[in-house]
Amino acid sequence: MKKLFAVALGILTAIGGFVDIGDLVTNATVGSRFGLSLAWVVVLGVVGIAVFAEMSGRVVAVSGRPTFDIVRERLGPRVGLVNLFGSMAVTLLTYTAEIGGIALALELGTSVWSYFWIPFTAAAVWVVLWRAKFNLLENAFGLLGLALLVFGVALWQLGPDWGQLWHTASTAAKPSPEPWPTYWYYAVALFGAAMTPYEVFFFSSGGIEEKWSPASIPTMRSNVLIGFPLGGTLSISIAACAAVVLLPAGIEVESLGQVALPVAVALGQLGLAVAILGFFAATFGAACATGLSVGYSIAQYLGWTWGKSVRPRDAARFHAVVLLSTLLAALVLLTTIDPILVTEFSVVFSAIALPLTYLPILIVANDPSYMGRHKNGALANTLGSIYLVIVLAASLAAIPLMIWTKVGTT
Amino acid sequence: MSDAIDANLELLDRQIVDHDGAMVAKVDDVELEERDDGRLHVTALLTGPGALGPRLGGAFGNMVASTWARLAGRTEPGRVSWSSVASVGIVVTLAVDRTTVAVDGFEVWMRDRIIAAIPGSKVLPK
Amino acid sequence: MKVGTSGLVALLVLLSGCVPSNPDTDTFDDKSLRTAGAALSQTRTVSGLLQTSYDGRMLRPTALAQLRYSEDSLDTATGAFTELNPPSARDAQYTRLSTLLGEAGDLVAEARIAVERSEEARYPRLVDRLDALASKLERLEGRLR
Repeated sequence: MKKLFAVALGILTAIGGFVDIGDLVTNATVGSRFGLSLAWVVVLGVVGIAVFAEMSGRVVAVSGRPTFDIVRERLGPRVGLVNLFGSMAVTLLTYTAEIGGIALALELGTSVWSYFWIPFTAAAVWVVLWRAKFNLLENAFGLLGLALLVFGVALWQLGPDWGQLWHTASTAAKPSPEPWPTYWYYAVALFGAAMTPYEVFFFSSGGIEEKWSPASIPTMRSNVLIGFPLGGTLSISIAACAAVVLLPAGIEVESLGQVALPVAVALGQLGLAVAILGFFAATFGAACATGLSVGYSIAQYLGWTWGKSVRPRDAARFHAVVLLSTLLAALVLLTTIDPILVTEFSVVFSAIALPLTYLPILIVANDPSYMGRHKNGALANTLGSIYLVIVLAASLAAIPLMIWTKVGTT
Repeated sequence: MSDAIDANLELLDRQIVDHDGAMVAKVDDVELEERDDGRLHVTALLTGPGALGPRLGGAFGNMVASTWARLAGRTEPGRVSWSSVASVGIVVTLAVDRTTVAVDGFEVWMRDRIIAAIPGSKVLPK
Repeated sequence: MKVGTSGLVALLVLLSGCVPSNPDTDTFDDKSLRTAGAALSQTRTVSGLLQTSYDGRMLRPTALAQLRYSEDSLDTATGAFTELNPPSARDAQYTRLSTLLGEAGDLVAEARIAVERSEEARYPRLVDRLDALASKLERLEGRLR
């Protein structure tokens, strides 16, 4: 019974924790401009992250070592360093976006200008990272993030033409006014949002914090294989709400308030309040995850003590990195840069960094000296290799598309 | 511990943990000595930017090593004598406590100068 | 080093979508289309905010926050457009769109004030005027495509 509860908790946490500010903004923007014609990218991204999360989870459970540890061991310090720089830079950018996202959510709830919230949200995130236990963190925000299910409820309430929705999604029918390069730009952005690198570091480091062993593999798998896809449907429901309410009105999403508007239309004040709560939980949870991930990645490369299971003074460098990252994120946001713009850049740069993150995982998961009989089977390797090609294509296309479409504004 | 090991595969870049399982450092480099039988023996594990810099190579690696040397006030990298090593597996396990090998000057500095000053640093997260 | 710096600058210019202040007809048409689209988006957003507020389906803080964004966004788009020097072949288009943008800006400001003061009796009329303006912008957008 307890085991069942643990499994259910893990799945629910994975669903609720799947959506962050990048997913919120990108899915809503895509829905408002492209309808569901890019839904296939979300599906692609969900399968991708499930495949690689399972691999890295298995690596942790079997070897007891987190991802970055093994990347450096297996691929050498130089490759490991490139991997580290790329991943850390993107994760830091994502961290900045998430903290900005929390401020935006608070603004929606209070009408107090988001800029004003930034110092408080950065400080609050840091205090939580300083004091809160890992389990509590993950479960609390994962469960609260389930508030975003309100988008599914709203979609149901709106009573859309389901046949029409299914048709646009399954045929990837791009609305004619939008140009093809912009379509592909948003495909890359959506893909980056679904497969953000920090999710894998957090997942694998979390496995150490929770002391996984080979016996944990089935639980880990159910979290990944049920949780992530259901989280993906959350993303699609956000896009669908935008497609049903905003697209016909010619409203293009540029701010978080517009993301929430369909919920207000469908469910009124209560629904809107739940949505805002969901925004807050999703962004706060993601901020904690990304903040920790910046620390995890560098600590695991350099061999420092890290993590939430030790007192802060016993992981001084790790906590110093987390503190410094938080300060840096806050400073960037205090330049009055639009948090939505930071978010847009973070998803595209995530797409660029994907090969750096995922290729090493595939290599390590195949290594019998770490994995023993748990090394990758044919399915994992086939899927992994296919994804490597996709991820490489997205990474290479990202910057040209960004330039060509002027960051998606054409 | 006299079997031949492939240092590259089994030693370099591995995590070093002490006999309690606490993290010590990474094996950033190894110190080798040629003995009378013509074979190379590992005499110590080297850690820290002073050891990693040269392995990273190029101008960047040199910069890492020399910056560290200036900050640390010495050029010899952190050293864990081979005699302290209990076993080599997925991690390198030491026979001693990490304070004995004392290669984590940066951690100690960070702890004492900055982290200890923040309230709650001694408290286990809950 | 010099090539690198000028390359970076070029990249930033490309990314920022800078439009020279004396655009040719194609560039001007493109800019008009995008500006009309942006104005349409914000006009309909504000209309939606007012309608849901009137129906008791919106939270006031949320409406105020979004109104602020919509107003700023509209002002920025308007400013970027009206500062252009239109090619002489596009004078009429420039005047027409500038007029609509001005009306949109006024209406959105009125909406903001009405919500700030919770003057709900004014909302329906404002919604009608916003929707009428939105239709005009939509027609203009359609002609420009």
